[in-house]
Amino acid sequence: MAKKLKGDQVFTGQLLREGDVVFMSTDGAWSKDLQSAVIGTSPEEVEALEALALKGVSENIVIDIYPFVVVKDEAGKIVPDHIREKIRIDGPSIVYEPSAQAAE
Amino acid sequence: MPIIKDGAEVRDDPWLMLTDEMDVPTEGDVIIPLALASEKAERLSNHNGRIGIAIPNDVNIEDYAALIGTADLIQLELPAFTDGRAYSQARLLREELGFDKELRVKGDVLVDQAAYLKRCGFDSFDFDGPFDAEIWARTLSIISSGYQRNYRDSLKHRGA
Amino acid sequence: MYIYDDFDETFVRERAAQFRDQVERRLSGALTEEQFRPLRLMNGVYLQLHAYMLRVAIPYGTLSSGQMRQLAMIARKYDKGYGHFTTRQNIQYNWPKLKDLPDILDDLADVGMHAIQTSGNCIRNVTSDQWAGVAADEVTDPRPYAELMRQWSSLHPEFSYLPRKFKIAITGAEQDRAAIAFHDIGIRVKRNETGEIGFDVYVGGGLGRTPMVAKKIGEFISVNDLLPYLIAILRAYNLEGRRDNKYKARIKILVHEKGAEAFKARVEEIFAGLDKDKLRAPQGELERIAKFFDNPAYETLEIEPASLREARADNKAFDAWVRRNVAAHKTDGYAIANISLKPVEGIPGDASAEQMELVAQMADDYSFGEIRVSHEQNLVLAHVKKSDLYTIWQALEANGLGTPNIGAITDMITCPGLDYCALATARSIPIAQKISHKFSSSERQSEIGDLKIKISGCINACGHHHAGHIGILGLDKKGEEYYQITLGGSGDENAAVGEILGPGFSADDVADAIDTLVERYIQLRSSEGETFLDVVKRVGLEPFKEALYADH
Ligand code: SF4
Repeated sequence: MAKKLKGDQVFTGQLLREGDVVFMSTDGAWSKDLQSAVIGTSPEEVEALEALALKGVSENIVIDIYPFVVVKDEAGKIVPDHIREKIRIDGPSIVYEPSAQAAE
Repeated sequence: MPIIKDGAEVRDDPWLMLTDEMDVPTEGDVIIPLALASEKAERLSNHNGRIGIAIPNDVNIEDYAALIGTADLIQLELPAFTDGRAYSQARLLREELGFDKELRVKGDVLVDQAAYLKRCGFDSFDFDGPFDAEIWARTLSIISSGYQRNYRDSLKHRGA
Repeated sequence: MYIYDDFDETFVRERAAQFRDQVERRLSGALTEEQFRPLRLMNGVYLQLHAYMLRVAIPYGTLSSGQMRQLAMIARKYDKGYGHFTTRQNIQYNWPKLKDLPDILDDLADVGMHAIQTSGNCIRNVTSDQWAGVAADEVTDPRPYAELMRQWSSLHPEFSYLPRKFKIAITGAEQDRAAIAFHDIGIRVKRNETGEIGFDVYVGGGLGRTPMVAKKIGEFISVNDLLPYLIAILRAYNLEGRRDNKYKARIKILVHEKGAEAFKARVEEIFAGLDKDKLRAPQGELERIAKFFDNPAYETLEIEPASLREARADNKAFDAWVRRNVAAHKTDGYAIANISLKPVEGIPGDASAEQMELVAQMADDYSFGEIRVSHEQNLVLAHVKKSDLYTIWQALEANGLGTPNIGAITDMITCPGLDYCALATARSIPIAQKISHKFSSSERQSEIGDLKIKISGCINACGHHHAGHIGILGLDKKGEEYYQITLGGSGDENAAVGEILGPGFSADDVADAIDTLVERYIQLRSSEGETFLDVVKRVGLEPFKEALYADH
């Protein structure tokens, strides 16, 4: 995994039972809210976070963990810097649910 | 490193796997890697015991028909559980070369594959632990029927 | 259509029970994710961008109204009320939870359905012509052979850990609507002068990173030899296919590296050694299967009912739909009604639970309770009376299913892309929507005529972009989506791989670029009958490049 990404990083994964996208917050807890994620700001910190994330994997809580780069917007909110992660967090960029389509 | 046969762990497997440096013992059951078979042929000719051959999975089985005909056991490899070459090798051995002695698979065997391996002709499984006899039995019997009829299996087939 | 007997039903139920056991072992931690992944994939369960995804098999694209209703029920109960029909004639659910999957499989088994081998490095769902059995240009019905292959390939003990996935398609018609040339094995059913059936067998076709058109290696293989011949091909591939590099592991690479002649010789060598009598379908089995595909009880009808003529004259929208969506049936007075899942600015291939139920009702009322799914992600009512077409259309139209665009520029094949897919490099659906918006006028569409646009969100080419008359491939350039355009591909009997036109376009510019290409085509064509693809073949890429890039 030791892909050296440039920038601050957050660990993400998906819940084994549900498949939902989650982010790692303090003490290796997993939350659907990106804002509660712990940010690694140095290679050492990211490495420590990864060790914690892998614990979630070995405990069969999350699967497919990886880090991605985040930045803070003006309001201080954590946001991903790549479109893939944006879509992963916000959901499909299209109107996809039939009820939502009907309501259009 | 359990060896599983007939759904149970074999406690005292008689087979000794030979390596490069080892001398062929004068007696006992030995498995010799295919690559060493010709080199050690002379020693083996007056060996007192059964002889098995370990065949790598990139070998064309049909090229060794004569040698295979003399073997008491053939061991095929599953270096990773996703590498399925041994399944076809096994079928060639059983169906084309008529090999009818013990056929063993060694390597990365998952319990969920054992039923398929068995149906391709394997009788014994040599893999890195853990072995749970109950899961093994359940997994091997969970599917009772098969669409492919010619295999060495005890499954039900349509109309039968 | 084929109906399960006790044997099939037990098999599918046991398979569902097996998966339940595997899921339980995974959740308890007895299986690691690495061990579980190939097991779940062999049952159609992926992990996608937002959630798990389940792909359910619709063998050769045929399903009953009851099965369709169950698919709708599953969409509502376990998902978000919709499903996505794929280019492999299957359906995908985008939001199931792993813990619910065993229950979903039980619900599928209740109606004789499953998710066996819809993914994984094994023999995938066999696909076929969506008009099989009813097309006017058919030599013979391929479905009995497709069903035979479905059964033979299910949980195949020897071929479940192949180097890579393996796709088989079969067609029995002159015109290839199953894209057999782009499959690992493509089969064309033939009939000789004496009326005997045989199969021409093509191998090594595929899209993805290295698109290739399949080569013919088997000439008029007899019905009796079909399974042994397939076994010989699969065995050659299983033993010799590359396993060192995922991108070189498909059979097309083996055939290419070895040479088609040498590969053919190897297959024949293995074939010669097989104990064929033991490997053939058992005596009577094919006949048993074929009975299920006998013609339904067609009535003797007028060839051209006056009611249809009048309705078309009175209603322009209906007339446009008939012209575009209705195809010739082999039986007088009947027609094939194609239902477009490509509404203007919709999501190609998606259908809501309500739409699925409506189509099921239409099938019950007007088409012997049977529905087809096409590889172009549309649905088909294969046996409707011409005199019922107007009623059917009205119901479809009222539920967003009456789009008159089959084979037209807005009938695009589109993969899920970055909106859903974990492997994607760019989005596909919004691009399709922009193009659909640009060409939404049905007058403009009919002026343009037949034009197939196919869009993939990454090099894996699930959207078949190489086979599009216009192909669009989404890529990522330093975090920005951009799109490469190819021209001249074709997935039919004159299969060809499209060629890249030049530098790519941003998401905002793709639709305009397509517009420019279409305008140039209209200028270049010698008559209305000369299609886009004909023109590309006649004039080459240059005039199109010029149109796109000249003033840049
Ligand atoms: S082509 Fe790529 S993006 Fe599209 S579905 Fe296939 S893997 Fe996903």
